[in-house]
Amino acid sequence: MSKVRRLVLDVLKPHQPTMLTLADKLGDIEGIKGVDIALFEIDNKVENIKITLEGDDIDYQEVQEVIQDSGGSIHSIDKVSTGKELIEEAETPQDAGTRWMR
Amino acid sequence: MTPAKVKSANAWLHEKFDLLSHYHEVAEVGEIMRRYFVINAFDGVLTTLGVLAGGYIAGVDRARAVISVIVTTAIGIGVAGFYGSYLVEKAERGRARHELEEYTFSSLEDTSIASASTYATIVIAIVDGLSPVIAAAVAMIPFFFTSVISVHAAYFASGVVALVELFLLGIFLGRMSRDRLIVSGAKLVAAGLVALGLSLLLGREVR
Repeated sequence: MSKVRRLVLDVLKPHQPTMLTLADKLGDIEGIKGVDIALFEIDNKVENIKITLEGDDIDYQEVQEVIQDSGGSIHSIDKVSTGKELIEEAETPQDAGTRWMR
Repeated sequence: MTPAKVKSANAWLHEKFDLLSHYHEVAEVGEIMRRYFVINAFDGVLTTLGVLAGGYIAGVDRARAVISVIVTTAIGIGVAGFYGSYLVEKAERGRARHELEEYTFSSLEDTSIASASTYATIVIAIVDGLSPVIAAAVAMIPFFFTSVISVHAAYFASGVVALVELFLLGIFLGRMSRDRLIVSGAKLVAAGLVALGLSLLLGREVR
């Protein structure tokens, strides 16, 4: 079975615990080498964040448990990379037409 | 106890301390705890001053009688403080959690947020309950030395101790608000003197 090497998640979480605490807990999970959390939106109760995880063997269940334990909910899995090595998204002619949207 | 067991117990304590620190941060307990500590310690000291004034005017000259009244009064305030703040904090934090669940569209029941709420409720209730008891206990210390000093002197000494406690509480408040410490302390001492003065005045009228 392929190992998950990169995971990008759209998460909604309360302000507490902070992104720092969440990043710290995610970084402690076995198989994760790096964590990146970016803030997208914020209001007085919750914040919408993008979590990027990279590692040798990411356990999605464990990631989900840590996020849920911190009061967060995973809205969507925006990107997954598996296999023996990390590769980037391939450019196609169709992407040129939609480049203006980015 | 073997070195391995000591190391294991040490690691366990570190883990629990880290967990409680995490709950402390998540539940934002610090500010509320400081507030309740000051309010209730202030209540405890002023109540003690009232009891001292009443006992002095009534001519209570047995140290044990004064100690009994102060202890029972302090316990009453402490129990009321503990249960009152436990019920209020539980209700408030439950309401806040339900509100947050509506925003996140998920249950927060088995999360660290719920555990942090429980931790906060218990800690705040304990602080609310203990602070007036400790404040009153400190103020009545001179009455334990009536074998050395007279009961009359113990009344005055207790009054002075209570006013010193108020001054220290005022300094604590002053540090929190970054205000002038002496002025902060003096404000609470003034409140204590007003309470004492009114108690003595009205007590004399009733007598």
